[in-house]
Amino acid sequence: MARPERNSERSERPDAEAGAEGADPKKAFFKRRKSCPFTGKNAPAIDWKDVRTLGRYVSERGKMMPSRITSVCQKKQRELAQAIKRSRYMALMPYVRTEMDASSRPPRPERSYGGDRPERSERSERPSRNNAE
Amino acid sequence: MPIYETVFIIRQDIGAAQVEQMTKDYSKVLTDMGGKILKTEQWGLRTFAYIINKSKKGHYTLLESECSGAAIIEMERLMRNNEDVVRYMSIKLDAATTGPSAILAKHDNDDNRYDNTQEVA
Repeated sequence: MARPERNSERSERPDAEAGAEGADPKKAFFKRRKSCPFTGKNAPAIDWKDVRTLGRYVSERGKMMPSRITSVCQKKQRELAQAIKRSRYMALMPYVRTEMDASSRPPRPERSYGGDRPERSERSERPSRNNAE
Repeated sequence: MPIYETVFIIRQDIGAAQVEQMTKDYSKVLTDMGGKILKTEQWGLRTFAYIINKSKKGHYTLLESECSGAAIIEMERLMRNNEDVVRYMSIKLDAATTGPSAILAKHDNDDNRYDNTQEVA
């Protein structure tokens, strides 16, 4: 029972700091730490059926976002990961979301390149290209 | 007895009436083994996020029940044997939920959004 209290304290402290230092733009820039969106009084429960909420913690590709970006606390991040996996299994969310250009994109240029030239020259060219980069 | 939440998906080409019937059958399995049905939700025909068994859509049903683990195992066994059930998942809940689930509450909006993304794609 002590845990959630500790959590809420932790999440509130940076908030308070940010509020106090909001007047000073320099310090606010460095010390702005968001609190976990799933802890606190009015925080939404993590539900695997709630695709909309979960969608916010997933990249465009459909990958889960790291908690260092979304500032979800560790405990909730674990719950969130579980929820996303469940909702993927039930086909509410995609495992991978391929962009529209995946289908309309022309065949990879490398392949046509390799086809035009004999194998050897292609091989010799690859490392040089890498070096140039 | 613990509270479980089961969601299962039935193939697209099965009629809505038959889906209701199957839902009743599975509920009966639970009640016959001493369980109690707390909630039943038909989410209707939903589009999958990815293709499952060459189909793009399926009938989703949610069953919330208070029953023994053995009853859930039996129901899952029957679902596994039934080819019309594409997917099923049972989860033990900490407490009974109140009100409709997130899917039903935002069903219209979600549908619209999904249509939009499909048009873009």
